[in-house]
Amino acid sequence: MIQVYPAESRFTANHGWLKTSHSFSFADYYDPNNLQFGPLRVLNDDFVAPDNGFGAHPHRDMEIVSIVLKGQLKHQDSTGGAEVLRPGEIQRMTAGTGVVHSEFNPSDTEEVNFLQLWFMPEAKGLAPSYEQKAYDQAAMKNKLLPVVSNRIKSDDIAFIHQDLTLYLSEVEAKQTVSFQQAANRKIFLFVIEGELMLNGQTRLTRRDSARITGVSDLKIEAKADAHFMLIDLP
Amino acid sequence: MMTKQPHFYIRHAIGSRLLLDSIQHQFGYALEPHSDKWKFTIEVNRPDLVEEIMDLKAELNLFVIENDLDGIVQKWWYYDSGEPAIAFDQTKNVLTIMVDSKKGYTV
Repeated sequence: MIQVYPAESRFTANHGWLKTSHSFSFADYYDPNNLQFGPLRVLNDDFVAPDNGFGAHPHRDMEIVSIVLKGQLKHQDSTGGAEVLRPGEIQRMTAGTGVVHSEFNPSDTEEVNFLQLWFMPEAKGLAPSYEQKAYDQAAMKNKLLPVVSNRIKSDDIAFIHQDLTLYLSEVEAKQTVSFQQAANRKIFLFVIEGELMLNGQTRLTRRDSARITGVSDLKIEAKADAHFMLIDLP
Repeated sequence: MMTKQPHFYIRHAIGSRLLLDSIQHQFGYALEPHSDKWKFTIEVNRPDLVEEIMDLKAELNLFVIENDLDGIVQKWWYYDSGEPAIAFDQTKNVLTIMVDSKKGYTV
């Protein structure tokens, strides 16, 4: 089954310094029927104004992945981690037994747009950790590029404490990529930009997403140049 | 009986949803050390909110906020590394939560 969630079905909020869209229940948005998809618990699409951000706040027992689409995001945490995340880079933070961090747009002119995903970890009480990886943006052209995984090991893939792989892809118009899914696993697909057709029947446009179960062969055709994220989930 | 305390609230650790707020829901509370743990005693006449908190007991983040005269906000984060001891006395409308972890940070 391919269940489509149009971009406009997301909960949106405008706090002035922050414009955000939640794909799942988060903060003031609570829908008991939209809590998670497998271990994927949060997907926020955040636009943060220049020189603004999220002050220090805590997390625990969660795997948190951030992907910057435009601009810069400065991260600092209580494990001593401090780095600036830019397009072409990905960050994974294991909150584990507890971590306090902040996320800030260090630019005084440019907005930052980033996706933040929270995944339930494979175990509670993990040691807090943080890593940032750079991936080759050219390598995701017309293919699925793994950038976060627990099973695909590479210097440019962030490790995550959950049985999943997150892929990014940029597919040119009329090109197709395919994904073979194992039995009893799920696929989450999110269109960052462009337009996709799934298995010749399901059309997705900018910021639409699909929650896919029971599909072993997924054919992803770009109707227009497209940038998207695919997550292979248990 | 309870003395006025700094702003206190409870959020769901997963998704940050606000569950109980001493200002919004207008309740008093007390906080005291209890051997190597911390015990919150909360006077709350909202069984619906208490029920949800008890359902989510393994995923609670408790915060105490202190503002000093220089405008610095000190936050104290309390949580339990496992599952907190939690109980609700319906006859007195008193909720008690005991947790084993505390971290402080400024905003």
